[in-house]
Amino acid sequence: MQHQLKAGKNSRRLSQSQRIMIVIAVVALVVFYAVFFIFPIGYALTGSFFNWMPTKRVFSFVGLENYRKIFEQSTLGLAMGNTLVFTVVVTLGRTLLGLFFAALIYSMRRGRVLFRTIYFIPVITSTVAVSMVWKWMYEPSNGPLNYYLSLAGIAPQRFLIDSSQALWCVMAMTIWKETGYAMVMYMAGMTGIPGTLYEAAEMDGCTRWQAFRYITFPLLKTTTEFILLTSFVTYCQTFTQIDLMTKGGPGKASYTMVYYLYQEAFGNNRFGRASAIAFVLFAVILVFSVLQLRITRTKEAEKHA
Amino acid sequence: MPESRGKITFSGILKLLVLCAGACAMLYPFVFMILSSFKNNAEIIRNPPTFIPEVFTWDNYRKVFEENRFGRFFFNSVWLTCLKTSIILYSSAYFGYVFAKLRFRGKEALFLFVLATMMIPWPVTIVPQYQLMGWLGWVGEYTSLIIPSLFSTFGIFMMRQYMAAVPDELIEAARIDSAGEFTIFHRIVLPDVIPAVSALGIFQFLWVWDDYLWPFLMMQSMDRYTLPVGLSLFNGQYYNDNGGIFAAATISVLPVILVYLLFQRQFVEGIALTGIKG
Amino acid sequence: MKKLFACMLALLMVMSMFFGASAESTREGYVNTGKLHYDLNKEVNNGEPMTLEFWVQVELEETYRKWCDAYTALHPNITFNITSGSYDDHFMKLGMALPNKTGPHLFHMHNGFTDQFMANLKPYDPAVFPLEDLREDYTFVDESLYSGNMYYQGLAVMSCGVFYNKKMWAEAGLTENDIPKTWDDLAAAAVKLTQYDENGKVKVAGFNYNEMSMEYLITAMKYELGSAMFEKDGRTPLFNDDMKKVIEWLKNLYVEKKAGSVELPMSILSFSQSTSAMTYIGTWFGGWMQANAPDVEYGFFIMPSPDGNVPAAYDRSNIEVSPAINGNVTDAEYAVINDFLCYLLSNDNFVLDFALKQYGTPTKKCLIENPDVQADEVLGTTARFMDRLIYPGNYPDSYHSNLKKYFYDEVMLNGKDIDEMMQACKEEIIDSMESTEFVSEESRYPHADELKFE
Repeated sequence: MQHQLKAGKNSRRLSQSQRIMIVIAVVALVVFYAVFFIFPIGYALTGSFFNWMPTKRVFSFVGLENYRKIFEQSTLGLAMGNTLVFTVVVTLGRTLLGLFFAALIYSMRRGRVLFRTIYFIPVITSTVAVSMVWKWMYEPSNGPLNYYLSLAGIAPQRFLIDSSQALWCVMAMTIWKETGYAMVMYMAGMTGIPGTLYEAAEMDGCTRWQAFRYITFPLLKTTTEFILLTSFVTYCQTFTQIDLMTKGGPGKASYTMVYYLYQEAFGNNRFGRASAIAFVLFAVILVFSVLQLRITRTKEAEKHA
Repeated sequence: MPESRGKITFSGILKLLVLCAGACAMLYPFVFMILSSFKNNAEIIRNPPTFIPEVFTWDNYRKVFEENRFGRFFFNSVWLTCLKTSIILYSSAYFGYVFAKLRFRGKEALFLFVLATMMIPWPVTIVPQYQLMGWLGWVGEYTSLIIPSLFSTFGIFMMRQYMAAVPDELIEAARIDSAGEFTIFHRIVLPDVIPAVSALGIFQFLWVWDDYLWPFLMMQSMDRYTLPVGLSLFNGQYYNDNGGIFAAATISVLPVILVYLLFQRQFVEGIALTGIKG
Repeated sequence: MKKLFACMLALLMVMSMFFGASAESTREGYVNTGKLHYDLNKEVNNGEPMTLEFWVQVELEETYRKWCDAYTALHPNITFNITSGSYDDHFMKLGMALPNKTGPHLFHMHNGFTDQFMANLKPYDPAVFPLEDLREDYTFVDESLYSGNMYYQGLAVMSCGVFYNKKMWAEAGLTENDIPKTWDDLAAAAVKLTQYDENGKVKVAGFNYNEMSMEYLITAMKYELGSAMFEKDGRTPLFNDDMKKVIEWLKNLYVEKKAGSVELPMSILSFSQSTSAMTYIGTWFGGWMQANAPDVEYGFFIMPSPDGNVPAAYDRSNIEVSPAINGNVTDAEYAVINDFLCYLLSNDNFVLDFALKQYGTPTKKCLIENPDVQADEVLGTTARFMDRLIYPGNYPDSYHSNLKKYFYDEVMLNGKDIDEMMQACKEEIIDSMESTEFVSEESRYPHADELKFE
């Protein structure tokens, strides 16, 4: 409880109303999460050690069999690799592009609202709808993308039906859709930076890049962390666009972990194995999160030392 | 670091060009979708593709509306989305405040626990959750859509982040004036985080609006279907009516864009507010 | 011969009904020329009101609504609440609802889900549906049974075949006489029908098996070479040299003969958009074309045999079945549901409606000679080959989805080795079948002695 000690300077006894507020919050959260999250998750965890087929009402203990099976099959490695690539590329892509466009729009005198509005539109539209539209645009024989490529003298591509391109095409769509979100977050963060800082920097003879590098970017740290963390958790569980655009194909070329476990659960009616996949994924996410937390903590500790 | 006033510079024009190119990329799929929804099927599949419809037709919309009980679905979607979003906004702000500004034992652990639940993929929890609804007798009832989403993990996480930025002095000053904690939360803190609340409101509205699988599984009668569930009837595997798909996609996207544009002003003002406080 | 006799008998019965001029027997479009007895005047549920929840696949909503309304007109105390969903969603929702003791009283069933749903179903009441009466009226009665109980009855037989675009056929200088008799004929016609753009890429495919046709084509062509789907044990998929031969033939058609291309859209879409002149697909496609591309005039033929001789089987057949009953219904509901189902199954007009909607040949014997069925190119042709269509049973869906994944995706799109993929595909199918109790019905096929099981 290092945090509490540090914050000790203004610690004092809680008032009556604060106590009520805390009790309400704790009770509500514990009850809600226990019922709607912990129970189902615990159930699923238990299920991962069982031969579990809900529609057939089968639930019989098989020990580690489900885990053994999935580690035996090459699909797990493939899906894990794809998930990792997808998460890293899309997270970085949307964050960097978001920051880039935020800085660009923020530096404009006019049209800020207009551009921000436009860049944000893909974010607010449903993944289902845009996946359908993009799938059509990627159509190799009569989709518009190949048509424009041919105008530019580039050979037509196979996009979603090419095993080396499919996942990247879905990633491109996702970055397109989600960049605006990071951008708006960054713009909100930038508005919070007092103009006086820049005036001072200008007087010290800083270039605009230096001002960005040494003032803007560090002050956007909370925003960056927020975007990175939520992106990470979201993209580790990518499913909808894969299901709609490639069905994990061609073959299994664009299988992600969640698509894999969805297939096991609803395609093969093997919820036990699907749960095992889910908990393998959960373990990986947990390890990454702990690592990330460690790194931030160490850095902070260094700063304070 | 706004541009210095007055002059038209080379870098200014370059920036504008880059931004315009980006804007075109952002808008193209929507323009393509909307224009395609006014084409007949033969024109949609033509190679090379047309951009502006050669023969303008409303047929796709007529079909989608006639073959679906759209009015009912739309109504269900609207009231459910509004209700669920409002509840989530209040609960997220409340928990966000507690996590950010109050100190109590086990707070960090509780917060981590809440966060960790975000990391379990939904397909595996859907069967136990269904079973739970069965035990509670909520299958087919609106409660099964509302109660499990009273709180949003993402919302709590986001609001805690924003609440942390509310200056402690503001709260301390009110506490010294011996204002009750609920009063402080409602009168001082909430107005201060309106921008964050409206930002969260937009996201929650969109997510709830788009939510499709759970309402489909839960609602046992078509009178209770929501818009996305209704639209999914047209999204079968062998569905070939491309014009219909584009029209359906346009219909599901347009109300959302309208809501966003309505919210836009408040959103912008909110961001300006944080700017002053920063 | 037997069929003809049965039909004449049926015709006689229809006529006797007309001349008997019983107003009740034709009430609300109800016509019963079969043995299965249904009493239109019997009160149900003692006249007490009851509402039945009925879930259907969206494509069948209209058909079922019509006959539910007719039943309500007959028994005003019984009403229906119909809820529809797309195929995938409909069965996913049922999979959730049934084991949780919720869900509809009765629902549209597909025999591919038999194994999964069995624990949650109630069989039809044998007192209402005597098997000997059903056997008199229907084919596929025994094939529809599951461990001796009747959970549904097959109403329409589905098979597959080649659809061709009549306009393109004529434009390429082909006539009725060019309808392929052998695989070589088929390939030659495909080559003739193919059109290329200035870069030599396929613009219009002569034959298209993309995405949702190749897997079924493999099974059919394998049957034609005399190889069964499953080995003797009825569970191990039979992957042999015949299969390899078929896959190589199909690959050759695209790669060497250039009569098709993986870059064209999915087979059925491309065909409806007139960018493919032929495609191989289920008979249901006939109905789909009428709904989605009424302007494209198409013809239909059964997949020709390798050498023109009658093969062990031309193709696989499958059945679309009557609604199934939720295992959790009360006795009173069970009685009403059985009455309703008896109303449907004894009613020629319902079965005809259902079969035409699903675009399969009706299993009710008296309907096979029905002019609507005979006049239709797809259904009429299928009916003529019925004797050489094999019903392998309600094998799991994963069989063909794996064939698609490994042979269309991996071999055709990703260029993987055929032998390796056959090995991997077989393993995955065996793994996915472990959790089912399915056993093939192929050994019950009348010409099973002509089939290889290893």
